[in-house]
Amino acid sequence: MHTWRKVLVVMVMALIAVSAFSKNTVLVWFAGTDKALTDCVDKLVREFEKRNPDIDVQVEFVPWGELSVKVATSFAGGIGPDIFMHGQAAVAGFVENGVLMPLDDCVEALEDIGDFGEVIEAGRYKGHLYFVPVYGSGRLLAYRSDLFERAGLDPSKPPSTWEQLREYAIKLTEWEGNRMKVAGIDLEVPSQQVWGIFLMSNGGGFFNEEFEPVFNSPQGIEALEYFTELVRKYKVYPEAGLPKVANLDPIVAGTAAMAFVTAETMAAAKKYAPDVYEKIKLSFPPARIKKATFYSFGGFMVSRFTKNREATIKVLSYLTSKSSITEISYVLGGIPSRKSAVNDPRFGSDPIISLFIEGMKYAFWNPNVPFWTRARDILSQYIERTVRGTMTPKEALDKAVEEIRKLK
Amino acid sequence: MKRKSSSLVLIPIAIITTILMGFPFFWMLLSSFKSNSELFSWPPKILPSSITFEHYVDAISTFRFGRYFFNSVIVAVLSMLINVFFCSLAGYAFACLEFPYKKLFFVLILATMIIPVQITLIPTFLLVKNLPLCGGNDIFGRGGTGLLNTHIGLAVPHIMTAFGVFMMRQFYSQFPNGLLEAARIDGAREFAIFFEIFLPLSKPGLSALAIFTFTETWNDFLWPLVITRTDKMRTIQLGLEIFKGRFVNDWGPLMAATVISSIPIIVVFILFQKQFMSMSLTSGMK
Amino acid sequence: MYKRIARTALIFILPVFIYNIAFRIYPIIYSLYLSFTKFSGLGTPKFVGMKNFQSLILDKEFWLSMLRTMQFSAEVLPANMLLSLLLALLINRKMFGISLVRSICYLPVITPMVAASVIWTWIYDPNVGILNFVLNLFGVGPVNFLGNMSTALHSIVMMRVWRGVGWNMIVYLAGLQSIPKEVYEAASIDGANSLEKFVRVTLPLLRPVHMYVLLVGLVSTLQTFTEVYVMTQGGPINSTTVVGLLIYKTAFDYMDMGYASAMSFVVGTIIMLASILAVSRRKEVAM
Repeated sequence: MHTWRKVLVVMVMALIAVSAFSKNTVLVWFAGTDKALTDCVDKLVREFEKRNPDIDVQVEFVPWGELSVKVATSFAGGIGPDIFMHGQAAVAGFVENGVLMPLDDCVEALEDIGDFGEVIEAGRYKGHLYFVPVYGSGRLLAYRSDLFERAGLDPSKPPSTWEQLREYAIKLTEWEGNRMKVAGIDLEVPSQQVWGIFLMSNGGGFFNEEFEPVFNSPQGIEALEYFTELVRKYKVYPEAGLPKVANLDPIVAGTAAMAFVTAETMAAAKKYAPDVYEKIKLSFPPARIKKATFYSFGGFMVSRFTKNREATIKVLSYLTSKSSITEISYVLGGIPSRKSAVNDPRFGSDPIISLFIEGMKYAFWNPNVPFWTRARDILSQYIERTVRGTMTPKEALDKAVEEIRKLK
Repeated sequence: MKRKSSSLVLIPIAIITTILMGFPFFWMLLSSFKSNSELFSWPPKILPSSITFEHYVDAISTFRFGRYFFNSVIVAVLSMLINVFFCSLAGYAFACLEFPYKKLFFVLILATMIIPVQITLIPTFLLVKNLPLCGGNDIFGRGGTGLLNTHIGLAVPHIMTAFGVFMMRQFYSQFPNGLLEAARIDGAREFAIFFEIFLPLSKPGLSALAIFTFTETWNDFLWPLVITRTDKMRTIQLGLEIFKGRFVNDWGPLMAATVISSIPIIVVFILFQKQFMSMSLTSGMK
Repeated sequence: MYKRIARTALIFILPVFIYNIAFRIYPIIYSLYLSFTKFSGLGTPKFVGMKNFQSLILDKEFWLSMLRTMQFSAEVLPANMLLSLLLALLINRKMFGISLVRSICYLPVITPMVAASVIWTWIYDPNVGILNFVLNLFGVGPVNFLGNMSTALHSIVMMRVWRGVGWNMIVYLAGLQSIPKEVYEAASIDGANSLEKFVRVTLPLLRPVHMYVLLVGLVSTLQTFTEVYVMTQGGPINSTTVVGLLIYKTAFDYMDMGYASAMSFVVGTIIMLASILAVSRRKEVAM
């Protein structure tokens, strides 16, 4: 009796051992946990495993808020994933920490790299490719048609220049005594993303090729002066900032008439304030020298410590193929990174998504600099300082550049 | 007479206090029954115009909610039992017994409280991973994953805590000296003195520690985040994270899940707070 | 006989002691080692000697943050201790519905930060918040509590007090319950009234509890992180950046674990000094 059991156990163990050896395991981490995503990914993975029976793909879904800490501790403990999804802004930092595997020699394994167009540059750092973008999330200018009408403006003619933007904002700002009831435009201080839009549309830039901060150029100073004047001189945005109202964005709650929103904000508006959602219209951010708007990308990176390189590359190739990208970005409500994917009817039929897709033409993204999070925080603080009037724009930008230079 | 008038003054104070303390929780509770378009309506409505259970259904059917709940319960109860038992032993010893280097031992234990927890996160993680002879590790702690992704591993920061020892020590030092002397004169053995005399009398302190340990363990987010590797071992706090998106949260199910996740702590609290009122400590000198 | 007592005592403290050495002291020592290195959390730590500490001494941001944290603590602690003691006294009686009141007072402790932050952000809102509504009745202009540098930290103080009072209330309650009835009876026989009983009997007998609440309160307020992280993320312009947040950011956002470790040790030392100071001053008061 007992010997039977022992033999059985040994056989089972042997089988497991054999199957473990003959199967390659690839561990993939996805960022985000909503059901639509997990269902979609499970389907994709099953397809892949059918076609590649020798590869076992294990998937973990990690909420965005957990990502950084989990990635850091897992790699520290030597048990990191083979492929993981993250935001593009994190690439430089990970490379400097020796976590990522360069993907230059796998480019042939990936489906039609030219299909990504310009966007693939978001994944390049110091000349090498480390990140394959999957979906993007961008900002467009949003405005309330009802508030436009109330201010005597035509909702079908959104502002397209900086001067118009200012004029409109002044008209849209409503006061009650000395309290700003409605802000002309939501500038989202202290985030540097909205100011970045003005910087870029004025032809300025954040960093140059040698990772030197260059946003204190004359264009940058001009952009910050325009930005600051909106607050201090023309008073279209409160100096102390505009908080969310009961968790609704100011433009949805009606405390701001214009804002730079993402597709996610629109989706939330649709869900929590459907009647207001109808009244929000979208357009491109006004241009000075060129049209520009901020996009952030989510995509895949490969760990340098991956054990089954070939299998991992196969999985990566599959996950970044046109069909996968189409599915994943649709399910996440983002914009697909591939040009060919954009033609999928599901994207075309949604006017809002179509507009965001068009906006990709003018996209700029977070600079691929290793100390980006620190630099970003420093820049935000100095923008805040000018907005509150404790420094002039030129002073603030020069000081920010000085401090950021020290980070190198 | 005096009692009546003091009660009258106290009642409005009690009511105001209750409202101030409880308002956020009750808002959350009521919100969990509101439909999406009502959740953040302006002006805010306190009561939902129509009660919906959709968020609760959503919350429970998302992922392995039941499993996360179960994990949290196991770890919290485990931590509570271990912590209360061992901290009361040590607290008593520090408060009532004499032994060499007593101060040194105490200071060393207290010293573990002063370092912010964020910084010991990674070293503790590595320690737990490389613990010898656990989870596939050899005698040097290599090869496997130690106590990672286990219930015991989840309990690690919450047992034998300095806070616990400190608190029990303070409670035991409130006891009159005479109690111990009398028991010794009676010829009782040291172990018996503690287990049969002091322990039963320290119910308020034990209850307080039980509530605290349970609460701390239940609400812990950072450690479970770092130590769980698979979905099966997640705790309820990590589960709540699932409803938080990259830019926007899924508020309906988040509120519902938060309410559900608060229930066990409330239950533990109600169970143990009875202990506070049931004690009328006699000096036991009789 | 003393040997027997000592042996028992050592057996009693051994489990706790060994566990703390292994799972708490050892990681702390490892962190101390890290503070002499440059380490991002990934890869291997690189020894850099005293460099982190040298930079830290000159780090204006850090010391400002430290001052801010101490100010925070100085505002939270007295309010917290006083209110929780009063609350404990309030509910330490057999009154109808008292156990409901007691349970509700503990709710803020367990209300998850996610929900608490939405409510408090709402309460503080310059346009639609309750506080500003009340201020408006007195003709005082709208105050952006969380958006103004001068009010942001105090706003978080208030929220922290709200959150922590229930906790200490329980501690004081347990302490009150441990005072034998006979002592009060004896005082009554001696002719003491309620106030005298409180000052001469209750307060002194609660001394060990005061000590606990004070020290633990000091340690935990100086390490505050969650409330600030969720409510203001340290803004506006760093006016709410307490050291707990700074350490977290340095370690996980900026991936500079070595520097963050150095910070933690300096903070830990300061906490230790503050605790010693607090304890010795109490002793004086007791004299």
